[in-house]
Amino acid sequence: MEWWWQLLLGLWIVTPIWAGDKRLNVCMKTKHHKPEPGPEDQLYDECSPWKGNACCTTNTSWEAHLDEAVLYNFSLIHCGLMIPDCQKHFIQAKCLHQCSPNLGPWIQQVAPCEQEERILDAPLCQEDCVQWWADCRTSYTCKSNWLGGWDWSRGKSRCPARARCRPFPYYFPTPAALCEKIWGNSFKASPERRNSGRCLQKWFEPSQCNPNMAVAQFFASPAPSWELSHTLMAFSLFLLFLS
Amino acid sequence: MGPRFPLLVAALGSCLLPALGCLWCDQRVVEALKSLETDYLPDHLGAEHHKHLMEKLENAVKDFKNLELEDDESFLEVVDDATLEKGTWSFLKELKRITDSDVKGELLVKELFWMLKQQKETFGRHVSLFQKDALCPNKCGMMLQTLTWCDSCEKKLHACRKNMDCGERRVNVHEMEDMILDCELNWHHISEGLTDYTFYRVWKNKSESMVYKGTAPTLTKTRATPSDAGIYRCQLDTVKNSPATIIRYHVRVLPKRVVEETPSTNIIPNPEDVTLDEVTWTPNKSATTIPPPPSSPSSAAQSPQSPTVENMLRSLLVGLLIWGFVVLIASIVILMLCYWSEKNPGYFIDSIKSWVSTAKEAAQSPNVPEKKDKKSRSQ
Repeated sequence: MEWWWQLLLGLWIVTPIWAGDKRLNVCMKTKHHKPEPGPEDQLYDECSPWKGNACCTTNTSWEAHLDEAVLYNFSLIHCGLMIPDCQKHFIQAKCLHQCSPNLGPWIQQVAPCEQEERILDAPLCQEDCVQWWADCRTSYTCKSNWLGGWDWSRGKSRCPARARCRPFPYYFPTPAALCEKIWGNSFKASPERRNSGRCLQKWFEPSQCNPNMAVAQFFASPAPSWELSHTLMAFSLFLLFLS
Repeated sequence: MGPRFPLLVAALGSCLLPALGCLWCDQRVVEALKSLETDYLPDHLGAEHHKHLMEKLENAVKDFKNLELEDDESFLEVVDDATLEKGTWSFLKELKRITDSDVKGELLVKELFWMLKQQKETFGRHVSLFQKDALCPNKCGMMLQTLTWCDSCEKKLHACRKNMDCGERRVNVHEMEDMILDCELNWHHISEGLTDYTFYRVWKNKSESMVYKGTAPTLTKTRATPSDAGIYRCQLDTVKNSPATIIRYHVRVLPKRVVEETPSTNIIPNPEDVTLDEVTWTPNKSATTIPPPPSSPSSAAQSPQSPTVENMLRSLLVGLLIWGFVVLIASIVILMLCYWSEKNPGYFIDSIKSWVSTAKEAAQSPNVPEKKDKKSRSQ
């Protein structure tokens, strides 16, 4: 009788841990992501930090740097060429989106019956959003949501008819507005700071370990926190020992 | 003049406001307009209109507005140094023309705004040309170009990224000739931030070994051997973390070429050209007049040639000798005949006559027996 009880308890502890792991080290299911994360010989420029374990191929890493890429449904030059300091942030965000194997906890299906996936509300560290916003202040855009709504009639994505090119702060009054609105809420502006382990960095030094791994682990674990799981496991072992 | 004048200024200023914003980034334009205000206007325009005019002018030059470019292109809000220079020079020249002409009052205002309108169009043409031809002229790889952003006047290094692959080249080289792999593209000399060319040999198991690294864009291997055939990769690196150009080469080493008349090694020959029979060969001494490749391959090519050529020469010589003898004998005979004819003048002619008559008789006599036969047959 008792051992049945313990077995059930054990299963109850193990299953959430096991299910939580399924959201670690995974890639989104899209046309341009690899099916499984793995090392790459060469990732270009801003994407190079993910070389050790990436969801993007060498070609994709190059595409992430293009002003007008087929990969993304928008171009960076809809209101003139973008200043390199601002462009850099976009490239980093694209690299994070394409290459990171640590976005599991935020992966959602685009539509209920479709295979394609996207991310939703992935928390970006405060410094990332603030710096992005600051460096893009002198650049121009004509929309606040860049996922869709472009005019493709002339072959390249252009501003829709009545959208005027204005400085970034007009469409994105705050850093939070930039992070959240620009890609239809793929990202969320987290109040946490870098190295807290609770927010994602859209870039890190290639020489250091990927700090987003710990963040994904933190967010992947379900409602019973680690401490509770440990207590329950200890309790069941104790019961086992008693019997 | 009074009430209409400011209106005129306002109307002209507001409706044309050209995107001379880029020109404001050049200090000389700023100074020229300043000197217009301080040195020229006091004597040529009523003081009450100065401030207004200057504001309008400043707005006209500073305002950020889309230039109307050709072919419905949109202005990318950047220019390079050359285009900015052209625009500045043209603007300053026209401004000087106006101030030199000493024009005053309403006419001055009209001239100024007319000039601005013209300059806008001219600058638009320069920018169109720039965007079409000079902005990021690379068709592949990455090029670095310093550009000026017109609205903030910031000068930054822009990375022009196009399709990553710069192509694969097939190179055929004959054995013992030079293998030359050229990695230079036409935009390499205008790009900034380039470092070294590196050539790698790509082995069958995908591993690579470096063959050359330096600032020269070509890899030359003299006297190619069949072991040099394979895949090579050239990479031009930059100060950034991306390469500017990657080109792959598939090298084939063809059999030794026998003819050495032209020294270029990257020609792809027809297989038929390699036959030796109809080829004319220039002897060893004239080979030195042909510019090198080294003489050793040419002499090596020539030595198997020599036996057949010698045979030809020999037969030529023999023919010449025979012909010479014939001529000699004929001339001796003629001389002897002349000598005899001198000695016996009629002898030669008589002898010819008698020869001819005997020939005639001989011809007739077979005819007579034939006639006799025919008669007998018919009977």
